[in-house]
Formats: sequence, structure tokens, C-alpha cells
Amino acid sequence: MPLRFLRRACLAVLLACLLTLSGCVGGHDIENCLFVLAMAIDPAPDGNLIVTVKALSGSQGGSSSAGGGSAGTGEASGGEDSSGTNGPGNGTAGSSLEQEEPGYIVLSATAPSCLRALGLLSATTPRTVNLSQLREIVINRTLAETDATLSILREIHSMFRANGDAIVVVTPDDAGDFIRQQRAILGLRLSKYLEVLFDQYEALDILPPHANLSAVISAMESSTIDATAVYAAGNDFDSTLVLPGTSDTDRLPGHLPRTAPSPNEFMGTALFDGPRMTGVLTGEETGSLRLMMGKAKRTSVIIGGAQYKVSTRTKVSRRLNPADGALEVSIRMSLSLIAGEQTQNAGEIAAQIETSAVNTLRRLQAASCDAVGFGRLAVMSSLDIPAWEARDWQSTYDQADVRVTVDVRIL
Amino acid sequence: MPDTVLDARIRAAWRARVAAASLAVGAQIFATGAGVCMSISLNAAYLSVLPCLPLAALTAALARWSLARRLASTGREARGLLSRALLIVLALLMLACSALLLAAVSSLAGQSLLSEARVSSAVTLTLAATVLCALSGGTGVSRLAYALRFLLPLGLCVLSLLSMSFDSPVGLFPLLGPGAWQLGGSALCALGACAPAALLFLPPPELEKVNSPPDSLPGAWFFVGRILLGALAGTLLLLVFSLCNTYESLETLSVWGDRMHILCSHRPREGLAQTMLVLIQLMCLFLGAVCTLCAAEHACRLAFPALRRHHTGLLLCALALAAALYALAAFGVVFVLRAAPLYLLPLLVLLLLCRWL
Amino acid sequence: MNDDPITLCPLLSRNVEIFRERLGAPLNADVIVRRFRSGAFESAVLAIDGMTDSREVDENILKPCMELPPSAGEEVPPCERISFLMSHAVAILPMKIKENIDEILADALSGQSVLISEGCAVASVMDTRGFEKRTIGRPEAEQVVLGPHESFSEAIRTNITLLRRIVQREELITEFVTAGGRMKTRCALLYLRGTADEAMVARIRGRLERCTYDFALTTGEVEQIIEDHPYALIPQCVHTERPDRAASFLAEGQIVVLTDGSPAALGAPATLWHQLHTPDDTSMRWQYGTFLRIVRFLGVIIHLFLPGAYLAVLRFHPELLSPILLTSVYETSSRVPIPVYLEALLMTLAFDLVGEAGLRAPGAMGNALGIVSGLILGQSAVSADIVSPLLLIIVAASGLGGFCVPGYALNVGFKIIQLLFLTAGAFGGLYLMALLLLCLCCGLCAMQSIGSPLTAPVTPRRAGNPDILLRFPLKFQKARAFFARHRS
Repeated sequence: MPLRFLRRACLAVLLACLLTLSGCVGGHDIENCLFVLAMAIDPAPDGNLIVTVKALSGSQGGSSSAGGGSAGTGEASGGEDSSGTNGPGNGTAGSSLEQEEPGYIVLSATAPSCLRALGLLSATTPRTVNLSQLREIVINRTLAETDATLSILREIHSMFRANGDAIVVVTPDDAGDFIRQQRAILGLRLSKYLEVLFDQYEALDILPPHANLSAVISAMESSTIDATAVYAAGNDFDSTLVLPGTSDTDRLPGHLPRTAPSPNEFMGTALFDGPRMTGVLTGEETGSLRLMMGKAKRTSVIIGGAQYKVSTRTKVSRRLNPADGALEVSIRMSLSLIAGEQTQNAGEIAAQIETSAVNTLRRLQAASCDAVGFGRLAVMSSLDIPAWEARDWQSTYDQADVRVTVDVRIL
Repeated sequence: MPDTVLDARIRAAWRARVAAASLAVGAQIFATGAGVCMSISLNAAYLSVLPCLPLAALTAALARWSLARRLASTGREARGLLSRALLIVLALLMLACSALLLAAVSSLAGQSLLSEARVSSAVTLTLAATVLCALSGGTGVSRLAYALRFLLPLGLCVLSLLSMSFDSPVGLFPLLGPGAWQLGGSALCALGACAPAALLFLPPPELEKVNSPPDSLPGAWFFVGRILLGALAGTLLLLVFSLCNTYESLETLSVWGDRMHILCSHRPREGLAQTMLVLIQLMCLFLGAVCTLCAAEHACRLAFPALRRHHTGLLLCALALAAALYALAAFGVVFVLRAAPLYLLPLLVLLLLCRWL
Repeated sequence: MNDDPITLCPLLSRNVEIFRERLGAPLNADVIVRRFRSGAFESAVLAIDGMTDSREVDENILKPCMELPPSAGEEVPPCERISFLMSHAVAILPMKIKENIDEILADALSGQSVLISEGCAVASVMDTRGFEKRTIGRPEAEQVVLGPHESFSEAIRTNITLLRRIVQREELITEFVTAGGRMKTRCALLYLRGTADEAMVARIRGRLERCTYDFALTTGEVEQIIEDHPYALIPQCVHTERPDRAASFLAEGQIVVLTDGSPAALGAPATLWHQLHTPDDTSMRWQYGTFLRIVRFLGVIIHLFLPGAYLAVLRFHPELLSPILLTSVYETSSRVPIPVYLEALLMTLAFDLVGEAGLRAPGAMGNALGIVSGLILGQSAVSADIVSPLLLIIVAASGLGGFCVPGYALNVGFKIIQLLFLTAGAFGGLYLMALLLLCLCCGLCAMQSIGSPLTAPVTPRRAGNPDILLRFPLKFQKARAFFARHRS
């Protein structure tokens, strides 16, 4: 018995030694992490990227520091460094430190790649960048229109284990400034503010569905559907382009005839063909897109001055016509008048929705973006991957006829 | 002791044993499917593991038949060169299955929960835990597998549903993946995944000193049915992964652990559900590895009775396993994945020997 | 002493001399040896002062014997004189005839009286115990809302009586066994003949008899003699202070072990579920019993896993935290100077220290100690930024969950396991916690209690009542435990 106990004790000690000798397992104390809530990526000269992050500072209501001046320093240092002798491989980089609002800190770094920039931020803060709480990734439109978007997003998702729920946003403005001027209001934390904001906008059907990071990556890699992201910009009321005959949502952000508590407006959809952005949809067109995808969330619509409640039993079906390969969408919806005076009958309303849907589909075709997912119907008829790839669905989609049938019942 | 009590003990021990085998088969099918079949037949990997099911059922049926014959005669220890050879083949087969499953656990853990850990850390932790679990013999892990026989599949089912998107069957099409030839090839590679069913050739350790009559054994349908259920669970999990990942995504995934992990989904709040799913996957793979290690140790003890003393057999098996795992950590898991089809050969040898004896 | 005689001899003087010598009289003032004339021959009574009821000895042994006529017993053969006295004079009910000196002395030391006669080589050992003992009180550690409020006391005979009052069955057998080498402790094995497994009874009896320790004074020590896995963290027998619970063990087919001098009983074999059930579960309606049981299981889960899971999430998986919670933890952790693992360890140990101090402190102080420690120390520690408030709440919730564990021994075992999970969570995250859980579960499933699996009837499967997590109505509980001999 004692010998057996001795052997077991030796075994246990050996195992304990194995554990202690095996090295670190990668745990980090939470105060050594830099939790990023929003990230912005802009192109910089010489093929570099400017990565700006908004992160938790760990202080409860710190003052805005004198680091405001360092922003200029950072940019200047970035510029000075990049004009020097260093090539991309040597990490031509600069970083800048700013304190924008209590509890949060905005940091930026310039480097040849997103990974290098985040690594630079880790090294200079010095805290480990943690993207598990990321809520928003803002990409400059110029960058989104290149093939680099997918690789950037993939790096962020796989290397840094970013939160797959983070919303991908494309903006024509400076993405760094976009997140700098984003403030949580009414005492909300920024993360909660962003979550609620996106939910509210989705409920208005002016943002595309599946604009989160993991869905965008999956769609960009897929040959059966294309990705969509949120389109946003800082709104300048004074320079609004006033276009007659259009509603306030049938526009793009940046040109909205209105003011709001936040200067940033989210409205519309950035369309992608593979990894590259190829077009934009307005808010109204986004609503049509959501309707055709069966993702419409609006419970009420205003048509011809009257407000209607939309039945939750709206049926949407999509098919590819086997005869001519046309893209067909069929929508059946029931409306009930809840305010105002009905000035159009069911047929007229149906025709209006049909026209809007057809226009949206044509815009999608023009951008070579199969956001609705007709490719997923087409792939079902191919038995294997070579057959599917030989079909050249992209060309077929771009040239296919479009038919939308809408059946409206007014209760 | 009344016969009814002894019968109840025997049946309970066999139920636990079959639950352990079923878990190990399901885990092996999933690990092999994700490791070998997904790289060849991409999203059609679940189809390529389907031929494993009848082979697993056949192995279970042959084991039951062999047990019924051998239990009629006395003696648990090997007598004669041929039965010793049978036990050695079984031990090597179980060790190989255990090594593959432990490598899968380490890979998945390294890509998900311990993403910043060193490979050696994940391997060492897993190996240490395996040996600690195996110290209690095959009895403890079999009973644990039996206790979790509903909980694990239910957890996998619920968490898979929470992780999946119902918008469209994303990765299901094209149905045959890269093509029929690739599908056939990966099916051949995956046939060895049913090897853990062979642990049913060994009686439970707690019944070694009991002369159990053949009619105390559960029926053949019990053996076959439970093994099929376990195999089906592994296959369905592969189907879930196909549904969640497009073939284009799968083409880019070169790391084994990434192929066993749902990376992209359309579901909100994916973090908690996917973390729990990964945990349950790890537990299933780990328990499968411990079951096969205990079976290997048991077979060694029966072949060489001198190894009974002071867990010598277990220590030898653990050392062999450690060598295999550290070699994998050093040189990569590619060669163990490539060797997965070779498990079929000792399995066939085992079945032939069994039939002949 | 190799020359010590083993059995009595016919000479009264010689026997008295042996007794005096062995017990150290006259130096040992407790030894009473009273010689007297009983009819036609001489006799003597041996007893230990304070252990016997002297009045009973006087009234029922000395007086009747001394009042015999001088010719009484003249024709009785010398070897039958003790039998003559027992049948004609002595009026005490429990009586045994013995000749082995060691046994006689052991009985005398336990409070029995020994009667010997001239010419007779046997003695009569009579139960005249009359030592001071505590009255039957309320259970200290197993209080219930509904149900009886009696508890065992230190006297083994009283405890047996308490059980016999509840289990009035002819099958109830009481076997006495002595445990210990030099200082023998009397233990009683109680079981229902025909219900309990005789092999298990024999196993317990054998382990007690083969005990090589000098002494085994308490129930806890006896448990350590009979258990199968002395190195395990989980006990394999169930302790109880309550006679009603011990009676339920008997009805289930378990064997109850009572130890003289300990106010508790051991039930064996026991499963893990026995240790997690309380008498309230059964005495209340099935809905309430089920609800309480679920709460208790949740408490156990919180006690074991919550601190470790908190550390694991904080150090390895912060993505599982909501951002608001994370912000709060982030801000407070930034001010705490020590690593979060040390912080958790210190708080857990402090909680256990408070518990132990409260247990050892005298009555009034013990009550105040909890308030002082909790309020002042905890509040001060948070104000001084030594610990974070959330961790304090986690540790307190975990401690409360620990108080739900019915048995004190199991509670301590769980505390150790909690520390293991805490360490695993801090150093390996949820993965290492999962591995540790599987290791412990494998070990638990392989454990036995007197040859019976500890985790049965869940695994290995044994037929049993639906009474593990959910307490089904009594009408569904038709079978005894799986280890009982006759199950229905």
C-alpha cells in the first residue's frame, strides 16, 4: 500500500511539473488589455493604412488631456517617418495618442498593414489589443473600393479574434474622424449606444441585414452571395443637396436635409462584388432590398400621405425562372390604414412597390452585387463545384431579366 | 449474491462500455471528417463519412458475437500467440485512435479557447488530464460516458442550432462538393474512423473477475444501435459545420482546429453559444481519447500480465502517447491526418483474426 | 506479560488478585472489589467507580446474594455456583457468562459489573452502567423546519434505543464490534436482516476488527477505517445526527454504524446523492422537496464553479462579458494592486477563515464575528481598493452556495475542489476547468462505498427510485436502494 501511494504521488508530482514547465497558456490580466470598441481604417500615402481605434481608457471620467496636441504630432510623425528611408517591410509607422471623452481614448497608428498597426498600438500603449468587444469597423470608401478589404477584415477576425457581431461601415469621409466625433449620449456607454443605434436603424429598414463582420467575410468569400455593409457619413446640413421629389430617406448620408443629435448618420447600403465595393443604395432602396430578402422589419409605412400598418405575414419568395433565367421576386403583403386618408388603391400601391423593387434590383445588377441571394438558388442546380464554377453565375446575374410581382391587400 | 443482482451489474457494466465506445466512434468520425475529409471534399465531408456507419455497426456486431463465444470459455488473459497478437493489434489501434483524438483536442483548444497559448502548453495540459482520467481505469470514464449519454448529444444539438443560421443552407450546395471522385477518395480515407468500435472486443475491467454467462450480455441490437447513434452524431455535427461554412471558406482553412470551429455565422450573440459548443466538442473528443487510451492499456495488460502492477501499462501507453503528441506539435499534424486511413488496416486484421479464431 | 492467565481459575482469591493487579488497584482508586458471603460460599463483585449504577448493584446483586440463607447452594457443584446465584438471587436483566479475563476486564471498564464465586471458573457480567451522560438534544448541524428535532447523544445504548423506537422490527440486528488496538471503542452495527447485504456487513465488521490503530474514538475515525478510498476528496459514508435519518438508512438497506462516545451515526454504503439529500426533502410535499433540491444543486454548482468561471472569463474569455459589465470590472481592476487570482484566493480564504473563527469562537462572540468580518473588513477592503466589489460579491455568493451542502464533511471537500477550479480557471481558462471537471468526474464514477458504486443508480445504471434530482411523489418510490438485498 505505501509503495502504491508513493508511485501515485510521484505520478502526480510529475504531472504537476509538466504543467509548470509547459509555459504560458496565454492568460492576460484584464487591466493589461486595451478593449477596442470602434475601429477605423483609412488609406495613407505610400500604400500604408491609418488605423484609428476608440477604446476603454479604464478611468471613470478622466479629463480630456493635453494630448490633443499630440494628434498633430502623431500625424506629423507619421508623415515624417513615411517620407524617410524606410520601406514598407520595415514598418514605417507612427502612432498618436488622444483623449476625446471621459472613459474612452482614441489612438491611431500608421503602418503597412492592419496587423502591424494594431501591433504598434499594443507596443506603445503598452497593452494587449483586445477586439472581443468591438462594435463597429469603419472603412474609408476609397479603401473599400479596392481588393484589400477582405484581407483586412479577415486579419481582424482571425488573428485578433474580433467580435463577429461588429458592424462593418463604409464611409466616404475620413474614417478616423468619423469615430472621433461619435459620442455616446444620454449617459449610455458607447458600446450600448452603438448596439441600440444599429438596432433602431435596422428597425427602420434603412440599414442592410447581415452587415456584421463574420457575415460580411463569409459573403465576400462566397460565390453564391455578395456582401453588403452599412453606409454612413457625417451629415452637413448646410451643404445638403436638395433633390426635388425625393423623400428624406431616398438619399445618402452626408446629404440629408435634417439635423440630428449626432453628426454621424447611418443610412444606405454599400454594395460589394466579391471583396470590392462597387455601389451604394439609398435608404429607400435598402428598404426594398430588405423587403425582397424577407428581412423587412418596419411595422408601418407611409404611402401617398397615409400611414399603413404592415401585416407580419408578408410572404416573399424568390426564384430563377428556368426558361429564361430571369430573377423573379414575388411579394404578398397586407396593409391596414392607421392614419391619414387613403389616396391610392391596392393596385397603385403594388405598382409603386414593384417599381421601387425593380429599380433596386437593377442597381444591384449594375453593381454586380447579388445581395438578395439569387446565387444560392442557382447553386442548387449544380451538382458539384466545377459545374458551378463553369456556369459563370456572375455574368448570368448581371444580364438576367428582372421581374417583381407584388400583391397588396388593404384590409 | 443472487443472479439477478449479478445480471444487473453485468448489464450496467456493458451499457457503460457501449456508451464509451459510441462516444469514441462519434468523436473519431468528427475529428477525421474535419481533418481529412473536409480538406478533400470540402462541404460534402458529411457525405464522405457515411460509409463509416455500416462498418462501425459491423465491428460492433462482430465484437458482440466474439464476446458471446469467448465468454463461454474461462480466462481473460491471453493464451497462445494468436490471441496475444490480437490484443497487441487492438492495443496499437486504440493508441493510434487516442493519439488522433488528443491531437484534435489540442488543435481545437489552441484555435479557440487557448488561442494565445503555446502549442506545447495545450498538448501538455491535455495529456496530463488524459493520464489522470485514465488512472481510475476504463471503469470511471465508461460510467461517465454513460451518465452523459443524453446530455452531450442534447447540448451539441441545442448549441449547434443556436450557432447556425436558418436564412439558407449556406454550405450545403453544391451537394457533391468538389466532385464524385474526391468524395469517394475522402470516403476511403475516412473508413478508419470507426476503429474505436473495436474496443467492444474487450470486456469491461470491472467484470474481469466475474464469470459472466453469455446470456447476461445485452443483445446485438443494443451494441449495433448505440454505436450507430454515436456515429450518426459525429456525422450530423459535420453536417452542421457544412451548413455554417461555405466551401470557399473551407478552402481557405488550413488549420485543423479552425475546421472544427464555426468561424462565421449570421446569428447574433454568437460568442457564448459558440464557446459552449466548443467546450462540449472538446469534452466529447477528450472522453473519446481517454476511452481508447484505457482500452489500449487494458489490452496491454491482458497481453502482458506483468504490466498489471502499479499502472505500468498505463505509464507505457502514456509515454507512447506523449511521444506521438510532442512529435505532432513539433512537426505538425499533417502526417497524423494522412495516416488516419491506415487505421483501417489494423481494424481489418483484427476483424479477420477474430473471425478466424 | 506472557505469564498473564487467559481465563479465570476456580480460586476466588486468585481471581481477585488478578483483577487488582491488572487494573492497578489499590493505586487505581476507581477499582471496586467487594467480597461477600452468598449462602454457602463466598463471592465477589468487581466494578469501576462512577461507571456503574451503585444503587442497582447494591439492590439487585449484593443485597439478594447476601440475604441468601447460609445453607443455600450447599449441594450446588462449584462450577455451577454462578448460575445458581443468577437464577436465585441476582435480579438484573442483561447478563452474560464469560471466562476470558481480557473480555471480562473490558466489560468492567465499560461500566458493567462482574460477579465471581469461589470454586467457579466463570464470571457473570451484568449491564449495570450508570455513568453520567448528556440528555437527548436538538441536532446542531442538521436542523430542519419540519420533522423531528431529536439528535443522537454520546451514549451508544441511548442511540440504539432511539433507533429501536423508530424501527420496531424483529429483523433489526445490533452487532457490537470493538475498534482500536489498545484503547478499544465499542461500535454497533445496525442493519435489517434480510434487507441489508450480508457481504457488506461482513466487510464493515472485518475492517473494524482488523483495525490496527491504537484507538478510534469518534465516528469520523471509524469512517476512515471502513472507507474504500481514503485519499479521495469526497466522503464515502454519510454522517447524520438524526435518528429519523438513520432509520431511513436502515429501511433503504444501509448499515448504520454507531460509535460509543460520538453523537453521530454513519450510514454505509452511501451514494453521492445520499449526501446531497436532506430529511426536509422527504418530509415536505414532493413539489417543495423538489424545489429545495434544485435550489441546493444550484447552490452547489455556484459554490464549485462561480469563482473559477469568473477568473477564467476575465483572464481568457472577456468576449463573454457584456461590455457594460466589462467596463465596470475594467475600471475597478485598474485600481487594485494585486493580480486577480491572488485577490480571489485571498477573499476565498478570508471567507473560510471567518467561518472557522465563527465556529471556534465562544457563543456570543461567534455571532458578532460574522457581522464584524463581513461588514467592516469587506467594506474596508473595497474602499481601500484592495479587492474589487464584483469579486467580493462572487465570493460571497459562492460561500452562500457552499452553505447549501448538507454535510459538513462534504462541504469541506467541496471547498477544496472549489480552490482547484479557481486555480484551473485562473491558469487555463474554461478549457482547464473542463479538463479538471472531467478528471474529477471520472474519479468519482470509479469510486466505491463498501463495494457499491458511489454514483449509482445514475451511473452505473441500477434500478432505483425516481429520487435523485427531482423528488417524485411517494407513491412512485416503491423500491429500496439498489444495494439492498430485497428491493421491493
